[in-house]
Amino acid sequence: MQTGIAGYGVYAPMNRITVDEIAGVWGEDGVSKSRGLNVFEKSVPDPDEDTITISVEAARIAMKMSRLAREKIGAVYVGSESHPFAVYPSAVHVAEALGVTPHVTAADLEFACKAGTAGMQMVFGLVAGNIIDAGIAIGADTSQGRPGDPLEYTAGAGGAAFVIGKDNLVAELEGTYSFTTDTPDFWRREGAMYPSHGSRFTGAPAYFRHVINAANGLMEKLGLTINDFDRASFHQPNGAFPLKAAKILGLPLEKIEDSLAVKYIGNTYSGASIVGFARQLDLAKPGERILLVSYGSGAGSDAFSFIVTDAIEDARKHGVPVDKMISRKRYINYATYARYRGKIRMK
Amino acid sequence: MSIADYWRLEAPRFRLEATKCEKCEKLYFPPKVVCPQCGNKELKKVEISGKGKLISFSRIDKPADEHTYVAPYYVGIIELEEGIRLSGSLVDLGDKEPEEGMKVEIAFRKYYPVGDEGVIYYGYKFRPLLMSLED
Amino acid sequence: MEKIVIASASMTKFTDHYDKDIRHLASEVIASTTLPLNLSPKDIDALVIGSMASQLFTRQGNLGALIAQENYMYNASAFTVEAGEASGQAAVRAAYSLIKSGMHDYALVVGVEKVTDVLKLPKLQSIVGYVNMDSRYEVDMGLTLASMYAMMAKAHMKKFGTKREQIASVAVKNHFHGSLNPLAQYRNKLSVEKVLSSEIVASPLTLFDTCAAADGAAALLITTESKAKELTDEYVEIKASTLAHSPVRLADRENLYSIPSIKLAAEKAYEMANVTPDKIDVVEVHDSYTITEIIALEELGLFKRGEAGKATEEKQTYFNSSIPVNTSGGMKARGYPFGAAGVAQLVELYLQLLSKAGDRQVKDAELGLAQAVAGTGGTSVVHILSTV
Repeated sequence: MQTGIAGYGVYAPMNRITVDEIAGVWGEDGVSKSRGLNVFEKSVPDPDEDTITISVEAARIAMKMSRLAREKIGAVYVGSESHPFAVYPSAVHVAEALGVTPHVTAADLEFACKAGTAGMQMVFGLVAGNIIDAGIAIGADTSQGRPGDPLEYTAGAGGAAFVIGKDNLVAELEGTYSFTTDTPDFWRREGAMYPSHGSRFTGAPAYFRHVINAANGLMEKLGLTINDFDRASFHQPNGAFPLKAAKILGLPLEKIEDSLAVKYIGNTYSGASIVGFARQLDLAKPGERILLVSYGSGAGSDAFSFIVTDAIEDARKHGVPVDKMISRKRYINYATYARYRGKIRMK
Repeated sequence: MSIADYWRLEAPRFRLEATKCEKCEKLYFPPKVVCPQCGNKELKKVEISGKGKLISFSRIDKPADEHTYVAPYYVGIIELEEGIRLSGSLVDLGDKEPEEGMKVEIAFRKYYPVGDEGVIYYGYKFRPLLMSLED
Repeated sequence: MEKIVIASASMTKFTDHYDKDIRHLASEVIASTTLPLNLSPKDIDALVIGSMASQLFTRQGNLGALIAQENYMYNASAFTVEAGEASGQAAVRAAYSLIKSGMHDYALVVGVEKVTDVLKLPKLQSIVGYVNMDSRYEVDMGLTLASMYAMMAKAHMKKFGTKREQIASVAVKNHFHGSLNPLAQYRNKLSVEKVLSSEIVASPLTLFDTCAAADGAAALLITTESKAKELTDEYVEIKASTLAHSPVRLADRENLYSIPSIKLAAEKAYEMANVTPDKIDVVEVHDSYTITEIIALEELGLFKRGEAGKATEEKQTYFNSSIPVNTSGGMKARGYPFGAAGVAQLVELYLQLLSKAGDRQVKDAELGLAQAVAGTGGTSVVHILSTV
């Protein structure tokens, strides 16, 4: 029996700060920054939001769409690089909030920005192996960029959740393939508030090498060419990288353009590629094939091919469109952003 | 509040688990262990919708210690579809004032963290309808 | 049946007593209550302490033993009564019961609270919330007592057309009374404009709709009339002492503009004292927030529902008007050291009924009523006193 996605949900906090506002603080040119990054604004969590709250919200939407009984859920994985606790899983909070405890396996995952897709692979495996009926994989982050660092323009907050199973599928999994190496382009030591990165080194040997190879490996494995895909979502650390990757792969830009939530909510790290994928699912017609390629620094990419089912049109009525999350917003200035994100030294 | 206390409160505060006396047909939130009407100790756990309307609200400018980190913020009294009334914080209002009668739904949020190294308390708050598309 | 009376009463000034511990405050009023009667603290066989949160404010519990120790009262049955903000009057009720039962001869009630060791408003808000509200289903999620009364004020305004200025006029009146009371924390006069333009605490209530932190103690000696006569000819009778409840959670109440426990306690008190509200000459009500006083006056049947705001604005509740309310200055101006404040309400009635209230003396006061509430109405206590 086919495995696939039974429901999906995206959550993004409603605060936004514009690239222009951030640039103004550092004496940079916001207009050219925005153009270069292809990002206009990013989401900022309220002080009472974090990866756990975002994960719960996204998962509630996904569960609602799936219309699966909660007893069916046998796994909950939360992938993030901003778990609120170093020890005490985000996943158990989510499982308890969804009411899927106690007959469930749960764990937190970390692989920079691809921990969400790593969780999806794990749930696909458990479902395909008939170990569980269905499971939930979530990628969510409330990532921080060091003040003044280029990352600050894009580090957003948000996440996506997928209910994966065999029933009520809105998209069937055709296959998945991963490409992983040790490539230290971006890291954060235990206890450090902000990540460090290798600037230009995050490009060619890191993001592009892994994304391109994962996509090509998947196509080779499934006997597909890039022309077989109707839509795609790649990891989106900014709005420019995925477009460049598409160009390298020979994918027409209009097939990836719809995925670029990064332009409006920033890079949601573990959520980024899958928020984009969810937006493609919002727009896809039954029968369309979607390519999803994540990227996590360190580094690795997980590539997936999905075929959208007829059931999606009805299922969407039970979900919440990604665009609703993008369009509900409240602008904040840098001072408020600094307060919300704990950038003001209080003690 | 102790960790054990927080743990006891997870079902009601994470997912609005209520109890129902099937003899009296009466629904209780916060949950009870004994029905005060008939003495029934076998109360059934049920979950309630989390959707309702705002009865009243106030903007707190001077909060208690634990909540200064989100100040200023709105709180209110909400009547759920099942007829239960409860209090809670209001979130995601944008820059708008809440309105009496406004439809709201539960949101999952932090209440407050216990210092820098303690646990973080989570539970329900309320926001304008977002997940509930049918309204 | 023998009358139960208050044979002596006193209080400290309510203010920042930075130089005094909770035991010192209590000892001061014990001395000033017993000495005028030539009683020694050692003669007291029951000591009832009314204190709201000494464990939280000053990390000191078992005040009964501590204060007994401080005054060598080792023979007294000493214990603390806690009923949130109504602790003071609840302690009075406990002491009254001890005498009424015949088990004790002299019961000393000491209301005491050491609040200002907690220096910051947010911490104070937290303690007041956790003690008086449903901590798990109101306070944890961010509600404060001020926000509750803010919603009650809004409901009152909506239901009865009560004006914001009328609510503020409670503070104006109580500050005026405070200006006449040498023991009051605040003796400055206020204007409605000043109340309305002060900082918002919880909309629509401002800082001047609320009470400030203060330390203090107040004491009453409760005994039987025959025992009192051996000591003094100045005493007042406790005609009624009642206590009642409504849901602690405001959300569980039928409406937000009333406090059912006050009405319940008041009805029992009028019955017990065999009087009607129109016979009351002087009233001390709970005014932790300005709106609290308005609702209390209505629940006590002193005004029709929806009319107390207008009456306050029209100065009907001043000490020289038809229904004198909070002639002491109330919690607002006399000061609000929680457990002490409830006892001080009866100290004021004692003074008024014995015509010892000085500049704020109500003419021909024969019957007085005191009411206190915890939180938004979880507990209400009512006492009715009369001249003998």
